[in-house]
Amino acid sequence: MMIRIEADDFRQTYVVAKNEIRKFVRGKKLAIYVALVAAIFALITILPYALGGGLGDTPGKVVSAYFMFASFLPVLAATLFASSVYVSEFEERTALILFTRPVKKTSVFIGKFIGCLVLEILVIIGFYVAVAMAALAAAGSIPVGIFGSSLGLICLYMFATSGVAAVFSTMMRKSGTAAIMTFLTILMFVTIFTQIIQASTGADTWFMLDTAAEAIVSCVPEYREMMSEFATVAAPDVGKAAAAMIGWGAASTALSWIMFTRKEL
Amino acid sequence: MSSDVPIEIVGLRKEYGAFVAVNNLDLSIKKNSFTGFLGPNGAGKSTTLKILTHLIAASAGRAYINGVDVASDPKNALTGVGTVVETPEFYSYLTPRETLRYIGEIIGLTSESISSDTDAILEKVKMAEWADKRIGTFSKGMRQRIAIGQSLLGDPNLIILDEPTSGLDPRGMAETREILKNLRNDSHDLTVVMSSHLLNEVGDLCDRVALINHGTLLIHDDIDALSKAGDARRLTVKVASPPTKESMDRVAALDNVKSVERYGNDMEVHLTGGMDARVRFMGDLAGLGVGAYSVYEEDSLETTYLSLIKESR
Repeated sequence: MMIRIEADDFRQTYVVAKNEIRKFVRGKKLAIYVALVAAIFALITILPYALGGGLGDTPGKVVSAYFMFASFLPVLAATLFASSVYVSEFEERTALILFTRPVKKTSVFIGKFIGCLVLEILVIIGFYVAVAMAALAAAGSIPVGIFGSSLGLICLYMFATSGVAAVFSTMMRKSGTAAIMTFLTILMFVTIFTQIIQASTGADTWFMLDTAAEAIVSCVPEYREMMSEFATVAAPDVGKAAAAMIGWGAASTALSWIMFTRKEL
Repeated sequence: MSSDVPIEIVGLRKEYGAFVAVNNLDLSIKKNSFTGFLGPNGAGKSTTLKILTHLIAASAGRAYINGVDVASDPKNALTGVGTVVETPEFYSYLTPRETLRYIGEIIGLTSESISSDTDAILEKVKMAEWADKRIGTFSKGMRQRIAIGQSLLGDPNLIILDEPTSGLDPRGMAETREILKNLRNDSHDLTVVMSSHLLNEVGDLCDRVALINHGTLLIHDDIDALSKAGDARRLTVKVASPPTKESMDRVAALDNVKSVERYGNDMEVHLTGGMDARVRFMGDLAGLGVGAYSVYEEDSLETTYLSLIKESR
């Protein structure tokens, strides 16, 4: 005899999220991403010593070396994972199985987004744990406060970049196009807009995603000191950066949700 | 949730720009029937089934499943419904067992129910041997068997199948039909709606037929009644030597013969009337001396289908 339990929206969201994580764990993309993150970490760690220098004599200087490149990791994750998360259901026609079931599209949308984000953040946490170990080994301690700020910011940046990727994932018909558009938008188009705004108005572009992302490393005092000699624009405020990232993430996720729920097969 | 009318479609319309795919379609599906949703390519079958399964929205009209409006409450409407729309693909990283568990969890089955149901379903669709292999390596026929299998999860009272044998090789088609036949024979409280443009498939599996063309319902009846609906049966009379005008005229002069045409080296005879007329025709033909050695009747469903489609153009 068939026993049913309440197929409530939260449970269905959890089931979808779990399957999304399994998809990436069993796929090649996660292996590629982890390998790239490991390669970046290895390069930052080994290269200074290979060139006769070192990572730095204070924990702040050590983590700065890593955090300078950390903001690239969410862009990579969004391109590899979030950009394909919705489009693949349509492209690979698996939506014909999932969407004809008694499940709200919103539950599917949230489940897939959460699954993707959880996986991306887990890898980033792995990177930050490795950075903490490096700081401990090279400078004898871990700058916990700075570390927490940077990790919090990079998780928010992950949310924002994944939101942007989700827009393309719901908009495009091919996952390859969505991946290219995600990568170009975050790394190129947003930067072009920021440069134009700064050049033509001289305004503080704290609300732009690339400016906000600088806070991931500029929250380290040693880094700000080092950069003060060269920088023409003040380092972004951590609070404003967090607000900008939340804004970008919320707006883009809401837009992609609207497009996803209206998308037809 | 169940209802005496598992599917009710009222004034359904779907437009794609200027093209009208479904045009004020009204249809009520009888409970516990196996209904063939027939029509030529582009008739509006898949569009209707996609609206029913909430994959697309109707431009106008309503579609109800078990009394629940699909557009306003799709989650409740699709509860207890199994579906195979077009040729679905599966998550290639999952095995059939994992796929059924995923779908089972989505539709709210308990873990124990999923476990016990999975083996039975995989056995039923002849995929037990492949239960723990990843679907990515499977043929189209195997995937279609899983598609039908997943539609059986949760003991549905309604199954909607959209061209379930489309794109399969003859062996895959035969296997799929056998599964559907067993399903029809083994289930008591089950309504199946199956779209197809293959008349032999519908004739073989279904007890009712709904025929549509240009998005409009032409006829909806028991398959036996539909087979009798045409005003003439088409018989092919094989003759020893090519038919002459004289021999055809003699056949045409027989009772109940509506027309006679040459069909290659044979004669095509359109005969009105029922069984008695056919019996009398056979006797008369034998004594006519036109060299007839074999007579066979064309599929009457096909004759009716072609006649109705022709009229609707």
